Amino acid sequence: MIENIALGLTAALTPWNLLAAVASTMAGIIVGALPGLTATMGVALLVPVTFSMEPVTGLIMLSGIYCGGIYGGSITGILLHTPGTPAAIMTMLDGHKMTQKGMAKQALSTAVLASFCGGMMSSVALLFLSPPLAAFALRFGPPEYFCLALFGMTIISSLTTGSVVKGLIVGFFGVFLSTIGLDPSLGLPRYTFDVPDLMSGLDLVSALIGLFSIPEALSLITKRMSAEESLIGEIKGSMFLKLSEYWRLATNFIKSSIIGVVIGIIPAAGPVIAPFISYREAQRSSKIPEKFGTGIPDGIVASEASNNGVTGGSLVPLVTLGIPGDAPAAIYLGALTIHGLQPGPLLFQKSPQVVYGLFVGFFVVQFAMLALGLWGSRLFAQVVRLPKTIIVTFIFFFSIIGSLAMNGNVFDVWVMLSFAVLGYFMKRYGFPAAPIVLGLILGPMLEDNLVASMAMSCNNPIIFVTRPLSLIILCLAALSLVAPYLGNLKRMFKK
Amino acid sequence: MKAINKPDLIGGFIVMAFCALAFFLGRGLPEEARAFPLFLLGCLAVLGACLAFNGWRGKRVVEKSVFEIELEMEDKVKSQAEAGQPAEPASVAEPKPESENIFLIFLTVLLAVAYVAALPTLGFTLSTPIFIFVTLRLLGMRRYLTLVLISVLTTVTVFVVFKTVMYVSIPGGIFDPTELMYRYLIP
Repeated sequence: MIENIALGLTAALTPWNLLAAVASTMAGIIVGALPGLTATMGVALLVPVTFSMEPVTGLIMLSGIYCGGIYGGSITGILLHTPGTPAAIMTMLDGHKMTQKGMAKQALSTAVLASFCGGMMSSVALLFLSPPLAAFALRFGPPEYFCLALFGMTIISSLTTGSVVKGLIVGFFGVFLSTIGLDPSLGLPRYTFDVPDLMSGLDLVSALIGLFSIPEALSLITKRMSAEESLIGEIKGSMFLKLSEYWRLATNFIKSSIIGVVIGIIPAAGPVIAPFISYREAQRSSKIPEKFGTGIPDGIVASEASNNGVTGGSLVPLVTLGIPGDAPAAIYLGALTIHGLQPGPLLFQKSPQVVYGLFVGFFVVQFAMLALGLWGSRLFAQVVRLPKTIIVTFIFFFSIIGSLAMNGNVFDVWVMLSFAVLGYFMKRYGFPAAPIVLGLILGPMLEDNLVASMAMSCNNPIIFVTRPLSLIILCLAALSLVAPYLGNLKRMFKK
Repeated sequence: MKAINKPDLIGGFIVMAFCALAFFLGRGLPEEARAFPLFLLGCLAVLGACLAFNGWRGKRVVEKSVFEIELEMEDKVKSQAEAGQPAEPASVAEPKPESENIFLIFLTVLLAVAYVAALPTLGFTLSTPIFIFVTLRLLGMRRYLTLVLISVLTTVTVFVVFKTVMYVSIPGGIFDPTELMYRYLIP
């Protein structure tokens, strides 16, 4: 383990990589601060850029944009009452009230510190949880991976905030889309309509770029931005809270970070859900629950610590099992594939410098975020002055060029645009976009391992229950399916 | 009886129609290749039927918007406020009605499609400035000097960066300065 960490240090701490970490974090903060641009979008648009870089550099840059983006949303949320990213909604509640009370600087600094705490916690989790999990995954065979993928799909039903039916439809559709290409058992082309570009299936990153960048850009066209820019000039007062305040908030910092990490590890749960849960928990266990929402730092701490805790957490299952913890992590998968790397225990064995370089780089990014945030929050807020027209145009431009640049194939851009149109209509009619990502990624995992498992057991499905690990995972999947309804059951029994 | 949720009802039927179409298109494949997609289509069809059924029954699932969350918090705060506390300023922003300018959205997407279609023939260096110029203008930017400046600068910067730093292949098309660049700019 120590040798691996040393390996990671040498890989990540080169001047070029350090520069990459700082630059990408700064870009991430800006992207996060801009309302309409999300961290996911930033990560998606950056992947093609990382194509010609060393894998470690590319992964560090993605981490910079990811962590910076998740933190950046709090800046505009606090100052301008518009969350730059959905993850910052809860931060905005108390944060903006603090601005109105004249405590904007303190709100901003609290947000950075909380994000830093959450990010560090997730870096630690990433570094220490991944290797044992990867070693454990060595025992996984096709049946286990199949059940794992199944588990990933069941999470869709428990975590869709809107209509569960729609979420499932989208998820299954994603899996269906992943069947386009050659089938795993006979190698025959499916749904390719004689288009040679489709033989290897739909390009994942192009689909992600289309799904997550363009619909946001399109809604920017119609959105009216809040006209509270004048507030930017009124920031005064001391920057930090009293030391006793920090002491009081200590449990909040730590608990919210842990909540974030755990939620990050669970596939499909992400930086949007985590703040809600940790906010509620912080309020519940607080001595002053009634003051939440009036402008106290506790709300900011709870929200920012957990949403940054998600970042590293979501990478744990990705790196060890190939199952992303949330949408931006899914995009890491694309980046790994571009470099011919496959997540899983083999990655740890064959390319430990990549994995541990990422882990160390993640720590570096947190420090970059802390420095940039403490020093330049007000500067980043000016970014909102950028005219919408430029933002929308450049999102389109970079989405197109990005998907083109990856394989030099114009077809990928058509894929991107198709998903963009699809994503727009999905957004409009209340269909969640995230399950498609899960479906596209888990689909091949489901089918390939199903075929392999059937081959292993001579077409006897009992194999999934006779192998202990596989059975455990199946039970977890069943549990996650019924979890949302347990609350209802409890209520029914009480009556 | 509640009002019929038409979008959901139609959506459900669209899903089922898609399943039928996909089933039809996949008929030629042997069983092992077809099995998995067919199973998925079956599940999708059932889900589509559920959606249509729920829509017919008028079921509506609404996701909480940011505004509603704020209202909830405001109510909680007000109901728990003690007598001596100063009144909080009414700060909940009215949700500004978002006009769905579908026409503009459609045009922008159309522009993007045209750009991509033109790339192989016209090449990057020609189509990009046109695309950026027209899109910016369509979305409301008026100062022509700035428009031209941004279009040209972006094209040049991206082109140079992609070709030199990142060795990305970009459609050359008719006006492809790659040769010129390699001869004069790069020693």
